[in-house]
Amino acid sequence: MKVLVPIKRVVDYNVKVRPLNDESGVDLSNVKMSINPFCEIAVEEAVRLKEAGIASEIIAVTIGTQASQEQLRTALALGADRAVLIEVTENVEPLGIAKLLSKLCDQEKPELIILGKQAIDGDNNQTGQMLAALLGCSQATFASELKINDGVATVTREIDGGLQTITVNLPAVVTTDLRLNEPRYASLPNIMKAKKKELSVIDASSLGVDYASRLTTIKVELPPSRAAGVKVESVAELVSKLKNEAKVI
Amino acid sequence: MPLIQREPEHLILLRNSLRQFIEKEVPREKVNDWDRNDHFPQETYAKLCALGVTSLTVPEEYGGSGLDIVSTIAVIEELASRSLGLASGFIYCSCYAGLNILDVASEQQKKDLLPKVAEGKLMFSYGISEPDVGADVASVKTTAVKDGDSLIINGSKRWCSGAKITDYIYTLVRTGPAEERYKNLSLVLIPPTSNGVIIEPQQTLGQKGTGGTCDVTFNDVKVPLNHLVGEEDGWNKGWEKIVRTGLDVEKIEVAALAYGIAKAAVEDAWVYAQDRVQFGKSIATYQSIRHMLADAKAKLEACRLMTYEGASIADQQIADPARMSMIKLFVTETAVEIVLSCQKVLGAYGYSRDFCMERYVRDILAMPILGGSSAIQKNNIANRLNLPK
Ligand SMILES: Cc1cc2nc3c(=O)[nH]c(=O)nc-3n(C[C@H](O)[C@H](O)[C@H](O)COP(=O)(O)OP(=O)(O)OC[C@H]3O[C@@H](n4cnc5c(N)ncnc54)[C@H](O)[C@@H]3O)c2cc1C
Repeated sequence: MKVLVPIKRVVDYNVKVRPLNDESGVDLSNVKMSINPFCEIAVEEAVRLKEAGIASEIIAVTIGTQASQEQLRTALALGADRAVLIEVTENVEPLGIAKLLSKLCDQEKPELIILGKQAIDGDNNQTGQMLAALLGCSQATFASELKINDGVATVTREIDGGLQTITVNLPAVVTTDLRLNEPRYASLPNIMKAKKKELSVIDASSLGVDYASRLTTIKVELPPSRAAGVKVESVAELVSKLKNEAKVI
Repeated sequence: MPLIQREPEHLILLRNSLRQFIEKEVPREKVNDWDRNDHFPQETYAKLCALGVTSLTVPEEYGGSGLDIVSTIAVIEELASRSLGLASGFIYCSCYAGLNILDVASEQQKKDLLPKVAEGKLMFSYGISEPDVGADVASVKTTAVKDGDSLIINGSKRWCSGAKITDYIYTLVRTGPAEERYKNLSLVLIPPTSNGVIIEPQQTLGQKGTGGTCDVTFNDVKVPLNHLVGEEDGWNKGWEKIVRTGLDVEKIEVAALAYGIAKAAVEDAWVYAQDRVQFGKSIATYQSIRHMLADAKAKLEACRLMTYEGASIADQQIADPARMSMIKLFVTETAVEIVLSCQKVLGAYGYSRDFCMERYVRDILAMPILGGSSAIQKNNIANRLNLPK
């Protein structure tokens, strides 16, 4: 079984981001970039499927600039077999990403596409669903457990009320939630091996899809800072404040 | 001279991996506990070794990933900026054991020992200093005499770092008359568990959780003759072996420790200054604090450049002992200045056990002393550059 793992280069989760002075976006100068944590979980799950003898080949793919090669190399060091960079120079929105990925799927014909439920930069939570729709295949989002048997994926999903288990036929798109697994660290020997693995670059414009942006960012600003709280003397006072000041009851 | 380069991709990935590892496995609270209880974190160290980092000083034919001193120094830096204990364990293995065996041991010793280094399963302590021997290394009094196919060792060593946890003490011994100084020194591998070895941890200001800084006494300790470093050929060759890679690269190792600690201090002070509000404003907005932090950043950058310049010189096997001494001198002394100024940024909290800063202060103070004091580095520089006496 061939597995495709789309990954994204994002600002590291430890970085405290700041808007640019002109509020046109987030200041990315000298900021540490990493694989999106949900994508890392997707890579780990694919590697576990390979270790279990279920997956035969893992292809990591990203849509981004040359700089994203670092994240692809990391995926290779974590256990992906080869990597593809679909090179773009501009920001691409989820629908554009999904279209480009679906073109790659036409070429590669993976039976499982496993990707993060969202990226921690835009928090869109759209790409997986859009990709499944474009491919016309099944989807299982927010996976916290994944089992594959005879062309069927059994997926436990994290939903608001608790857990839901569904089965979907392959090929399918699965998006990962935080509790699916705990990713390993790339070890030095695997980092060295990754140097020799294939990383191919495809020019996005050669795939013949329209991935132009539809959205315009008007302004990026910090959330308003919260005012300090007040201490109340009694339950009665609390209830009265909730009723009359906060107007929530 | 090597020009400043972008780090190779494998090193960028290795640093990422190490930072993730440290973030998850080495939280500050744990490190503070190890420091308070003077505990070497054996389990965490084993997990670290599982990442394969100790293979960086072992060539591929001995099971390693190929000699890469720049990456070795980067590992020391990353570890030291969180835990001096882990950084020390890594040095005992990769550097004290790995680099020395590779450079001066016999072929058989390399075959036997280097694969263990690559797996993170071998650590050396340095047994050089003695109660009466500090800077004047060639005056060691501990002796080894041949007895059939054994060596009998008598004497004592002091400041033997890690002796509570290492597998061998890489011991400089006298193997002939004392007057001949440099000419009849040898190096012997002595397991600290041998009969007749007494280990007594010394009480020190800092360096907690690094496996102890120990007084070691040898009373008729017997080891097989093949524990002589370099085997038969190593007899009376101790001095030339020790002044080769060992002590020169050790200077860069200490510089990397100092740089790592200073980097952590600057990061902590940088964040603290923004969070701490006095007179209605964050203290980071006051010029005196801003300048202290800016100075610290600039000095830190100089330390980084010198440290990696040294590592790169070592990687290219260029013998440049004067430069190595300059790096040890400048980086360790500057790192002390950096950490002390960062401590000021934290005010009273820089003196509190609740923050990491006081640990950085205790640990950084040893750096200009160990691995050859600053005065000795200055002597080296002037002498090596032929300044007439
Ligand atoms: C935390 C720690 C860990 C250590 N770990 C180890 C270890 O693992 N193995 C080991 O063998 N040793 C170790 N040492 C010992 C260290 O290498 C020695 O402390 C160092 O070599 C200096 O020796 P000394 O302290 O006896 O000082 P001394 O040599 O007595 O010097 C005292 C002072 O005189 C100065 N001085 C001495 N000679 C000269 C001279 N010719 N010209 C100008 N000034 C001079 C020195 O700079 C110093 O300021 C460690 C030390 C410390 C603090």
